Amino acid sequence: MKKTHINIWRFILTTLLVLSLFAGCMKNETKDSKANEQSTVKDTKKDSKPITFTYWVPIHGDAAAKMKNYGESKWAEELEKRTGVHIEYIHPVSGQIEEQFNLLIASGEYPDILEHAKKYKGGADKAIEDGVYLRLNELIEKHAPNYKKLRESNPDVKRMTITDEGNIWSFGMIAVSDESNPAWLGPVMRKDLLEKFGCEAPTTIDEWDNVLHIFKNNGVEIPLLMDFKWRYEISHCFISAYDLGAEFINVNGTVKYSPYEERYKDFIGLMARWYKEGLLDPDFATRDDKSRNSVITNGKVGAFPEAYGMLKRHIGAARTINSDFDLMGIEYPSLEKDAKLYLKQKNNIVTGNGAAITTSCKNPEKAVEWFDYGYSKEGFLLLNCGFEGEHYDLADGKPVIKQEILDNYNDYKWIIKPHGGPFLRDARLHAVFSDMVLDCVEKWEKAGGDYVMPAIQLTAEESKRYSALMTEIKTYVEEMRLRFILGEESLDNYEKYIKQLKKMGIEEAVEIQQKALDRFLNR
Amino acid sequence: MQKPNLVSQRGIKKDKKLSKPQIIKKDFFVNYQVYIMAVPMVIFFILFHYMPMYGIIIAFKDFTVGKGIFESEWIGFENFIYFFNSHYFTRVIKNTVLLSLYGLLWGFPAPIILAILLNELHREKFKRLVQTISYLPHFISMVVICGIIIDFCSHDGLINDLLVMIGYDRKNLLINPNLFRTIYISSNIWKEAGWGSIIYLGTLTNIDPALYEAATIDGARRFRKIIHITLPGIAPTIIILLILRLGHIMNTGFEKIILLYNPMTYETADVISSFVYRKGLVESNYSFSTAVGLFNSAINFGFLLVSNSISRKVSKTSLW
Repeated sequence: MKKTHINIWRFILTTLLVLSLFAGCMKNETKDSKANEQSTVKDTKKDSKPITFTYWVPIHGDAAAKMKNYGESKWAEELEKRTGVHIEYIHPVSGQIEEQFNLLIASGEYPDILEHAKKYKGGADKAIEDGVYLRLNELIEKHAPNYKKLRESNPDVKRMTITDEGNIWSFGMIAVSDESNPAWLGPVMRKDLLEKFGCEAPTTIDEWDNVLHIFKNNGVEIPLLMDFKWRYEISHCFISAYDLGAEFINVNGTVKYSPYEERYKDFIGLMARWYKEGLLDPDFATRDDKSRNSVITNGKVGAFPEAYGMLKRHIGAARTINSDFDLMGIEYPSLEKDAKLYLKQKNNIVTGNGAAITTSCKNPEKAVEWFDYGYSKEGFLLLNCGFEGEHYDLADGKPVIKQEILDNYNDYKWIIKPHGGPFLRDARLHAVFSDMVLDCVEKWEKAGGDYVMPAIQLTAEESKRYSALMTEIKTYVEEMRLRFILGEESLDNYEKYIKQLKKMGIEEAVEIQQKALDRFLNR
Repeated sequence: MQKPNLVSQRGIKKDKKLSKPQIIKKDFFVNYQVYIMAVPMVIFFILFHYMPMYGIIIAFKDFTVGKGIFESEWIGFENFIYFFNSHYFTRVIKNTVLLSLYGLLWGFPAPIILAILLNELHREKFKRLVQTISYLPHFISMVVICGIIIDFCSHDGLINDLLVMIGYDRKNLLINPNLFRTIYISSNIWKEAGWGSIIYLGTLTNIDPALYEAATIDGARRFRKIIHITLPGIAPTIIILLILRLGHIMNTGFEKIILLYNPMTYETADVISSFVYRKGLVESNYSFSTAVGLFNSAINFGFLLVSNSISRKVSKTSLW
């Protein structure tokens, strides 16, 4: 009798133990359902605003530090007031954006609006064919007068906002004009060092060579910091002197793959020589962003390619160590003095990841109207400048941002206005354009942007073949680039390298890009 | 290591009259607590390890997220053929196997040696201290570890400072493909040896102290005792862990590779998982990654079977 008694207790205890394992999950569930209840309560409260769209967009890193949801910002509130449309923003967890986007598509339950829409595998035409995105041509014709006008005013905008098959599928970030979309990355040098050693700012490769040697001889540890990763790849620094870019370039309608060109050898040869002479960073192959920033602020670096947005930060950090530290933008170097350059870091006039309206949206007409507001004059002012009188004044119809906002731009960014998104945008109203930055931009703008590849679209079939070829080609090119520069592989073997690239199918990849470019130009 | 034998644990004597289902039935009534406690784990394995397995069919499909797993088109072995024909196929296979084999060769004995050394320490406090310090690195995040490695190996890093003292030239060590495996494996040993030794230390406590006493009386010195008592005592554990390890021979820690390699060291550092990462995740070619993963698992499984059967024959210790 006693034994069964104990056994019952044991039974109860073990069951409790097992149940306690599930306790965690259960609590969460109740919390979730509570949260759901709350949100439904919220929704009913906002009954006065009849139209609500769900809007999936990755939250910008800078914004995430200030708010949990774009809906909390002042501009979103004001936008809702003006348009009468309530937007419920849904943000994926940062760092898992691709996965969450793909999962969302796979789930078949889409939000009304999807930003990041460019990432749809197989492209926008496929998304429309698969029944995920809506074709917007007809809706825009009827309900988006401002957007329509904008598209018709500029052939480039027209081309970049439509697919090869003639579908308009998203709203992109459109620059007001070419000047409002300046080069944002380029070569930068230590101004104080140039003055100290009595050097002129270099403009040609030979002058660079000279200045870097002077730096070296005067004890600058790393005269030139090049990473041969993304900064070099998008800025096309130094390689543009050889009329080439980092990867594919568009030479007046003909696609070329720069690392497959004859003159690429000259560029690599120059870098190899500079490395050998100790002008390049000996650790460049293993530098990450953090250690890169630290050598710059420690004053070990003479010159480097950098985005203008970063300059203030570098100077601020470095002056705590060395009060003389100063930076200045330098022209993209050319071989001959004043020779024309065809490449620089330049965004296309239409950028952004595209905001598409999905087939789940019950009122696409209203959604299109809502988007159109961002391309109207009032919408432009709100989203680029903030509130009139508070953040900017109108002088002769042109907005002038108040000095206080300019000085503390980083505090206001994303709160009074979004930094980017699907609207008409003027970069000059967003960035901190101090005199130094204006000077940088002016110098970088001397190079042309003729060879920049537009945002072309491969078909599903092409993109499969292309990525099959390019993963291996890229691996090989990156590997050989470093081997050549570090002197592990003699440049005498350049022919062999070209042959290998050919064997790996580079010409087919170029052809695929060429076809896509042709289609783009014929849009 | 003794297999937990539930039947004998709580007093059911193996009765030849009972058939197998009957034994199980009876065992259930006697040991029901254990069964109930096992339920969550069984559910866990079914939910997270067996149910998702149907997903491997996308290795044979042209998977697009829009269509989903079942609607995507079948393409047969195209992904596999593409992988086998790849320019880098032999290189990544060779690198994976070599990195694993060297890792096994140097990395596997390290925790055993550490455990035996610790076992020979008689001052408890000192032993505890060494143990704690040696397994602490296990808890440091891989990203931080790799940051430390990159710093140490850089042109003006600690290791170079030491090398210069004995007359070598300064050179960034991580751009030398010949050094990659050494750096990878030795840092792994540093990170995991202490943690790995815990299981051996646990087994060591099970060795009957009488054996050591008897050996002492017979005049055995320390080294003899290690060879003839300690090692045989932990041999079954060593073999089981070795078999398990062999089942992972084609898997290399991919985060660490991604964090440490660069195009200069692709030659020795580019392994299957990093290749698949560049190919599959960065370009979201899921079918291809799955195909390679399946290929990997198949080979791993083969290794596991072979090593298990060899071990069963030779030493009578095996997983099943």
